[in-house]
Amino acid sequence: MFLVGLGALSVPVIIHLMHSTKAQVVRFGTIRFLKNCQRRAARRTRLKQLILMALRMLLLALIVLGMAKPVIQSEDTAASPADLSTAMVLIIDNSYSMGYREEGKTRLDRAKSVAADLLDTLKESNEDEVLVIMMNKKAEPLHQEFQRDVASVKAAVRRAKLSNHGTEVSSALSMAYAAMHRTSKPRREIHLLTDLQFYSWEKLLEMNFIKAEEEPRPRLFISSFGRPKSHNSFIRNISVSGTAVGGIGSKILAEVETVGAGSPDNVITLSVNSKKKEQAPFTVRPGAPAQVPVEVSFDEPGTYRCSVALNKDSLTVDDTFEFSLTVDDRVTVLCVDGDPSSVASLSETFFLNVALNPASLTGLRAGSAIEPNTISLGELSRTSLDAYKCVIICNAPLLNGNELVKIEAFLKSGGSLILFLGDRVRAREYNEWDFIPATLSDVTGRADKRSFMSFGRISPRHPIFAGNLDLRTTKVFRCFNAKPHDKARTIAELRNGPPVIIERDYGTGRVMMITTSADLAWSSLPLRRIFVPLVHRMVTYMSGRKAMFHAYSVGNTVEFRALARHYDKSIKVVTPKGAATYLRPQINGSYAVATFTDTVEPGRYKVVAHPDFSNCNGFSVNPDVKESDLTMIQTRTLEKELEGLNATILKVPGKAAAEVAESREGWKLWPLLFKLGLLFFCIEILVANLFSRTVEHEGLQMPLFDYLKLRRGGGLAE
Amino acid sequence: MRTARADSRRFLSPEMLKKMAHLSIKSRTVVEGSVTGAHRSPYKGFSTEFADHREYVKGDDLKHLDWRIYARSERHYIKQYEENTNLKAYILIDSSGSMAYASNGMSKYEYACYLTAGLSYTIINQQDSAGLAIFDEKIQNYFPPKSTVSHLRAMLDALVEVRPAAETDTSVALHTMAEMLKRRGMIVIISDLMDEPEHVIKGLAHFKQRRHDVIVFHVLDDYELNFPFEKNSEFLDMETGERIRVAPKEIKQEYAQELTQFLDTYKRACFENGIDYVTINTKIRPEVFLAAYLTGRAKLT
Repeated sequence: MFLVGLGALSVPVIIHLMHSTKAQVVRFGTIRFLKNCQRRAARRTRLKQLILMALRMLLLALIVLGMAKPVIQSEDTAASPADLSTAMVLIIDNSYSMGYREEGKTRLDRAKSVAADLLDTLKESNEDEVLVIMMNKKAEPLHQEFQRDVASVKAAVRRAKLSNHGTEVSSALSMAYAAMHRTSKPRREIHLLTDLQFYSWEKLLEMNFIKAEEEPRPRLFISSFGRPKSHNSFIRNISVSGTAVGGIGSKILAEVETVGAGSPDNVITLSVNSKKKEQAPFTVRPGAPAQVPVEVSFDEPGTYRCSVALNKDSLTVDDTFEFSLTVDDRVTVLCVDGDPSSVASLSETFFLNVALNPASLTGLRAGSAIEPNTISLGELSRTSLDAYKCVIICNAPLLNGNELVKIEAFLKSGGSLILFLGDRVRAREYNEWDFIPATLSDVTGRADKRSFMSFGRISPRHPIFAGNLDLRTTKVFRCFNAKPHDKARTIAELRNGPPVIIERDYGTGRVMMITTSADLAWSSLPLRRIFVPLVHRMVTYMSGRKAMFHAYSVGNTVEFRALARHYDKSIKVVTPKGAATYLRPQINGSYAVATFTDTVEPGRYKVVAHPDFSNCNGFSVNPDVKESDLTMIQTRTLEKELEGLNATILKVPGKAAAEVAESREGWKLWPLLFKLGLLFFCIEILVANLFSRTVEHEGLQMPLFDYLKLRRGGGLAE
Repeated sequence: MRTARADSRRFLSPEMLKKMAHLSIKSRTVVEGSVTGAHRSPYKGFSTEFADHREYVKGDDLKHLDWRIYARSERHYIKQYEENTNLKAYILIDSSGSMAYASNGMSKYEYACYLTAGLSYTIINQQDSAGLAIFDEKIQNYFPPKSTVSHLRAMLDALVEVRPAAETDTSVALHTMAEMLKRRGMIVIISDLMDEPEHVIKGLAHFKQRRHDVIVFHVLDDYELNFPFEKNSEFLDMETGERIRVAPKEIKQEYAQELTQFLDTYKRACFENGIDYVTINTKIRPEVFLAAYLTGRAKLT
């Protein structure tokens, strides 16, 4: 109807024509001057009138079009007029990174506010329906099906809380698209309210599953609540350097990372049993994780509840890392000397003993976490192994039947065995053992030590080689050629091929074999400075002492294990919020095993259980720090990935509801038309006055038009 | 006839007569009259104003002999004096179509008639002779100079009867008049000079070559001088009938420049030729202008 008003466009034309056709006749003495002036002004006047006419036509056209309130409808909106019934799926990210606090509000608060706005766009009269999915590590719908009661959905959204999990976009989107298949509403929208963390999209982009969706695709709106370069510092992990033994200092290493722009200075605080014990300042920069050491010693053996904490930042949940540290008494190791000597330094285990307990040279007991006890091979059958975690047999020719049974039982009960070979070893006897990790053949290398072999490839990630133990300068004069069994793992081998260190699991225990000797007869290893840390790590690793601290991530399963005879003893687990759960162990082989899966809250979990159960002293749960990396996926990357997916990334989440409404109704063109109209009105006034204005130039008044021409070097119009 | 006379009388209104009563006009140059008068004559005589010496010839009155020269050079020289004569004034009035333009009720032609009446009255009143030539493309009417009141009346009647309409060719009229007048006198040209300035100036110069005392009254309407038009209009040329459509607002400045240039051309040329040039706005009452002009001229003469 309003378009009829476009006829008004003819008004300026009519005015223009009237202007040029009808004019008052004035009798004048002479028109000789007027002719000259008119000749000069004609071009300018014509131009002005044409411009003014065009401007007025434009102005009228804009006003008329504006009054018609036009909207631009895309293909999608054209198919979705404003009153179409809508099915909406709201995916709200409630991973713990949404707890990042900005300007007094968490990102989740802002997301909930936008969600409420979006819910307000639904109309009961259209029978619109909505499904809300909370997105974290998994997708958690607030209701099982679409809801039409928007008020109750809004209340549920208001009640939604942060989770302690990371983000997994793909599962939530899969659920949303699946829900959309169940609805028959003509207009379908999925709204994803998230902080666009990069890692949360990796899996999705790899899966590429959205592109496989069939037409017609629902519209996907993504509102980002993240901000580039948001600062966050967090503790990625904790490790304990060496062993944690009562009375001996331990070094706790905290791996701290930071992202975004912020101060690199921070302070780490170690608390033991809720008491602050140590504090250390440090500096950490984005992209360069820092290993922050904290020295601590425990007087008594036992299990300690520890935590390391950073200064509080905008995301507090990852500023503290809790763990349990079990401090043992000394580790007792039984060394079986296969070639003893009355001269101590000539015995097979001399260097091993010194390395395991350097203080033994001075006759002192303290100073080492490992206490070796050496016996001869003949004493083995008479010695109980119950008190030992690890047995080391050096250059023993063979084991008799009793000894073999004892060792096998020891291994099956979780003990560990380290075998050093030598010139007394009978390969054929060894190859008969069930627990041997490799089949031995002949001895390679020269006994006169005129030539030697060097270490070649090692497994750098193996715990015994952690921290760059350099074996390259170690000379191996002789060793057994060994062919590892299928279940065995080669940890180190010589440069020309034969493996030197091989390990395998046996029962619940572990066997490690070194194909050269523990003394200087076959290698220079005992004289190398790496010998001491190497054998310490071997013993620590083999006796399981490395795993002395326990920390779980949110969502991990915690296992309680004891011998099968404890199957009837229930276990009580109390969450950090005080909720108690009772577990009943199940028989699993020779063990009674119970599992606890409800590790959703980070913090300290109390456990009441028989002392033989693992984790009987409680355990700690920490957030999965992948979520702490707030680095956002680049919008451009996301747009490229979502190309052709009918997806829109809303850069200002606060205006999401308005933009969505616009997308439904089309883009309102008329405000722009009125603004343009106003602009053209101003231009019209400007043009009309500019052409009439005169300026003084060299004492002469001249029209601005001519003056400008003169300034441009064109000279005055004729 | 009666109507024409009645109309012509308005040119000599009581106000005009009152203003003109005590005024006179004198020629700035010598003029050739037939009787002794108030104006300088080119002919030398024996009046009171010394002009030159000449050698004594037999028959000269000895009272004019310059004894001082004789005492110095023993030669006889007679002192000659300026001879005064009466003035013959010729008023040339333009009756072309453009002179009919009137923005405030009184056309330029009508204004010229008032000036003519006032001047003629003054001239005749001071016992000089006034003549009249009415021209447009050519001389339409000519009254030789006379110093009688009836002659004045006849001239005014003739002015009333003319209706300005034709195109103008001022230069032709001026050249014709310049050739026609044998004796030097005063030439008063009353016109809007809406002609090619170059040609008109040549015509004026022609008079100067003939040693006439030339006065130009350049009569222009107030609207022509100030161009106060606002609305877009079609202007009709009153002489040629040509039409032109203009937006007065947009050309006002240029019009003023054109007009100034036009007037300056005349001013400069008249100054260079010793012609008394005055631009007159018809908004000023003719008797007021004449009184002011004659007073001013009398002071300068």
